[in-house]
Amino acid sequence: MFSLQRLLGRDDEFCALLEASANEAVSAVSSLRQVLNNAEQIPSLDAFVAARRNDKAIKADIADLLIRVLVTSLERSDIEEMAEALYKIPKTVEKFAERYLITIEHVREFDFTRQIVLMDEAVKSVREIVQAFRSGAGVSEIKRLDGRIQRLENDADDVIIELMDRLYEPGFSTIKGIILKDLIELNEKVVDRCRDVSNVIARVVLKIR
Amino acid sequence: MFSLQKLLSKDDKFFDLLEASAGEARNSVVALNRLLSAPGKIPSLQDFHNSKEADKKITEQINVALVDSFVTELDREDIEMLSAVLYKIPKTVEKFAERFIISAAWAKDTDFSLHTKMLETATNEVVDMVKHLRDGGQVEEVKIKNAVLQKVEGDADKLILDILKDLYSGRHEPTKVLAMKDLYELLEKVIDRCRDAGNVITHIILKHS
Repeated sequence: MFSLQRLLGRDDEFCALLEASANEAVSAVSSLRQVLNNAEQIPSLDAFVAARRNDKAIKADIADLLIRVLVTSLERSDIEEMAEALYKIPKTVEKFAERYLITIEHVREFDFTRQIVLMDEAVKSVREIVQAFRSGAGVSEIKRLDGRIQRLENDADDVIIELMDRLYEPGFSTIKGIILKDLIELNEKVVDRCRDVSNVIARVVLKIR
Repeated sequence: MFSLQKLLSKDDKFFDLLEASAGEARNSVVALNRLLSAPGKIPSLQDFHNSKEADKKITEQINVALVDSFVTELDREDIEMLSAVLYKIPKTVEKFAERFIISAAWAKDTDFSLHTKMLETATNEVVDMVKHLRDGGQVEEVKIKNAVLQKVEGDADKLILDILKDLYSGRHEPTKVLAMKDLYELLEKVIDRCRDAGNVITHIILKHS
C-alpha cells in the first residue's frame, strides 16, 4: 500500500546520513586539533583515516538509498551534492594530516592555532546547519547559520594572508616556506569545504521552503 | 510520422559520442606516456592539443544532441556529467604537458614509470566502462572495474605522498621542489579524473540495473 508517511520518512533517512557525515567532519577536525596541540609527539593517521572511511561509507549508503528510493521530496542531485561536499571535509583534513606527518621536522614549531580555531568553529557550524535542515528549519534560520559560516570563511581568508606574509619575509627558509604554504592552504580549504556545504543547503532550502 | 525507434535510437548517438570522448582521453594518455617514457626529449604540444580539442568538439556535440532530443534512455544530467568528466582527462593531460615543457630542465631525469602504468590502467578501465553503458546490465563487471579505478587512485595518493616526502627532505633545490610538486600533482589529478568518470558510470549503471 502506498504510504505518504513512509515516503516522507525516506527524507529523514537521507538527513540522518547527512548528519552522520557532518559528525565525521567534526571528529576529523577534533583529531587534528589534538595532533597540533601535541606537536612534540609523532602523530598517528588512524583517526583521520577512520573519519574519512566512515564518511565514505556514509556517502555510499546515500548513493545506495538514492538508487532504491523512487521518490523523495528532495532532488537527487541536491542530496548527492550535499553528500559530496560533506565528504570533502574529512578528506581534506586527512590530506593535511598526511602532509604534516611527513614534514613535521620542518613545521613542528609553526603555530596553526588561528586556523584550527576557525576550522573547529566551521565544522561545528556545518553540523548545526545540517541539523537545522533535518529538523525543517525555515529560510531565516538557515540564512542566519549560513551567514555565520560565510563570515568564518572570510576570516579564514584574512588569516591565510597574515600567515603567508611571514613566509615571504626575507631570510625565511625557502623549502620551509613551500611546505608551510601547502599546509596553510590545505587548512583554508577545509573552511572552504564547510562554506560549500552551507551554500548547497542554503540553496536547497530556498528552493523547497 | 512519429517513430519511437527513431526517438530512442538517438541514444546510440550518445553512446557513440561518449565512447569517442573516452577514446580521446586514452589517446591523450598514450601521448603522455610516450612523453614520460623519454622525458629527455623536448615534446611537441600538438598531440595533446589535438586530443583536447577533439574531446571539446565531442562534448559540444553531446550538448547539442541533448538539446535536440526529447527523450533519452540515460538521464540528461548523467550524460552531461559524464561528458564533462571525460573532457577533463585530456584537458588535465594537456596542462601537464605544457608545464612539463617549461620545467623540462628539472624533470628530464625523472623516472615516471610508476605513473605511466597507473595512467594506462586507469584510462583503459574508463574506456571499457563507457562501452558497458551501451549494453546496460553488467553491474558486477562494472563494479569490479570501478574497484580497480579506486585502487589505482588510492595508489596514486600514496605515491605522491612518498614523492613529497622526498621533495620536502631538504635534499633538493627549492625551485626543483616547486616545479616537480606541480607536475606530480597534475599527474595525480589525471588519475582523479579517471576515478571521477568511473564513479559516474557506475552510478548510471546501478541506476538502470
